[in-house]
Amino acid sequence: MYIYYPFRKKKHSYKQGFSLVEVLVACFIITLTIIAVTSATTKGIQLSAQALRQTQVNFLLEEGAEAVKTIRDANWGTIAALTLDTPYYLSYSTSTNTWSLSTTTIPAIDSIFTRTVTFSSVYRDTNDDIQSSGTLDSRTIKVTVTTSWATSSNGTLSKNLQFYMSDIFN
Amino acid sequence: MKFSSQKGYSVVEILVYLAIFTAVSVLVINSYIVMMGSFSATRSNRDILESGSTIMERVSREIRQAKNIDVTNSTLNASAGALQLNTTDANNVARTAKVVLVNGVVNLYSDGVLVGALGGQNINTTSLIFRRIVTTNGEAVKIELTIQNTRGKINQTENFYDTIILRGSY
Repeated sequence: MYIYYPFRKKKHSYKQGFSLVEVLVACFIITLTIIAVTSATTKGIQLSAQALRQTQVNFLLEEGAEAVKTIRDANWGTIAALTLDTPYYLSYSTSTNTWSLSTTTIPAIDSIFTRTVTFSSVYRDTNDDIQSSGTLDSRTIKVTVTTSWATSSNGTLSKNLQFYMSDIFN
Repeated sequence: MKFSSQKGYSVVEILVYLAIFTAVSVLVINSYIVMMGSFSATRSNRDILESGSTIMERVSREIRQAKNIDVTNSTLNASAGALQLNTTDANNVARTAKVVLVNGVVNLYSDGVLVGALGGQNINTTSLIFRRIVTTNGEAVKIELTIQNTRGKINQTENFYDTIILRGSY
């Protein structure tokens, strides 16, 4: 490493000190490195926040599925009377301790998550296997629970859970 | 002595140097602060995620296996909640399982004996509420869990929700 003495009397050599170009190149490299590291940590924090949200959403989806099943357990008629292919909102009454479905929009859970449940028809072929068309099975329904949430970096994300539910208590 | 333009530094050169040095220092220090902040935010997210999913998974598994809820030995609809379940072990022998929130810690008891605390050491469970859902054909429990992490400047609170049907109640 070259050490320079700014006030020494000796004739100035062209090798002494740094030229402006060298300083600029050094600054450029330092800046680039810092930007790279900072953007990596920013991405890291976004992903860690997203992982937490995803975990919360997993439980909310499971809750959606189980809540629909409690409505089925109470009375299949409630499920059979629903309008198909329309998003329903799940709401919980703390006074009666029951889940209920409504098409009226409810406030997002914790002001973050919006959960909807959509029901659709189930058809079976001659072997009683579920197909996209065939004979309508009025005692089975396809349930799709969807939860969406807004993120600061990736717009609105959503996750869904699908399952078939049958009228098993009649 | 005749002034040589190559000797020493002019005021302008020193000012340019200082400006570049200041800019680089500000960038370096700022990115360091950002990185430290994101490190503690990531750690906070991880602590809450780990504890939240551990508590929710374990409690929901206990509920799913259970036959019924011992209402008299439970604290329902309010925090700090307690839930006592009549369940069976792996050999189908009857036992009781109890989940209770005491001083910010969720404890699990089996047959009245403490199995251990669910969740990590760095978090504080500020609220745990159990709500009992009774349907024509079974029972279910709605769980509402609030976890707080306070470490340094970080003060993060997250909620977890789930509803689980007691499979033994069918």
